[in-house]
Amino acid sequence: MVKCRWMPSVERWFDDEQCRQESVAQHVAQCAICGEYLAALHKLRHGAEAAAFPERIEDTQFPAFMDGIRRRLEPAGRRHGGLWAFASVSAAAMIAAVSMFLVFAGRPRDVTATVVEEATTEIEGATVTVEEWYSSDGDTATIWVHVPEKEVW
Amino acid sequence: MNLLSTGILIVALAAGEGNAIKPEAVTVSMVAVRATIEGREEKHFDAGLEAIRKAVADLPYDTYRKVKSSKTPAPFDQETKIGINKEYSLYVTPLAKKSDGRIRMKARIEMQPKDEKKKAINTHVTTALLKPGKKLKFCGGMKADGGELVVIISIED
Repeated sequence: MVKCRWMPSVERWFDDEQCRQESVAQHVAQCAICGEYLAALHKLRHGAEAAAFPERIEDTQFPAFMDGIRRRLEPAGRRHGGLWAFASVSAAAMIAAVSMFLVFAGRPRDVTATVVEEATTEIEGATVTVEEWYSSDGDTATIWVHVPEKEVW
Repeated sequence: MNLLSTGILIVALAAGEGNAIKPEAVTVSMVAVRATIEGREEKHFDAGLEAIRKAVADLPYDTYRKVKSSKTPAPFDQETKIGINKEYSLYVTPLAKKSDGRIRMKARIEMQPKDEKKKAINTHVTTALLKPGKKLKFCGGMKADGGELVVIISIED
């Protein structure tokens, strides 16, 4: 599109803005480009006015319209905020209690195992070891008495 | 309210840990074998010793002859004698039953010296927490007719 430096002024003049109205009008009368541009602006304005359609609610639409408003005005369903708060506080207390128990009680022992608490012998010079043997049918603890070569009995 | 329930929970958990119950008696199962090394390729077990095959899998012997097997009721806080052979006897004293099912028990194996003038000695003395069904075996220090006496005990479920 061919442009003229007066086109911004033509736009302002078209929108009734403060500008040098006489000189713009004089220029438009002499400039074919601005004359065409002004005509295009008029055409655009008429088109926009024709397309403008004010929204109206017809009588047949009114009940549905009011129904929508009423639905939005209805009170929201009862919220169970208090119950959830209580549940979350209880859960937090439970977690804290279990954590404290684990801290104070230490690591839970392996209750599946047989535990030899003490093992001794009265055989002179002998030593005792405790061994655990893990087999497919479970662990077996062994108390070994190691006797020196010399017969002691 | 929450603090109260938390406190109750902690006390209950702590109390449950150390609880010990004392039933009337437990049944102690004992198997005594004479174990030897005879140079076999496959381990030999006398009839009736299948139950201890896995329990002695870590021992260096290849032949296991049955000496005695028994099931004996043992009352709590009383020493019960379970004879093995002329020389050896097993004595068990169940002390308490823990809340996890294990039995705290004292056990000792007494040997009568061949010389009657000598005093009997305990070859093995132990206190153990025994899980019912799990085995505890006593090895070493017990000669038996050219082999080693191995004693395996467990508490019946």
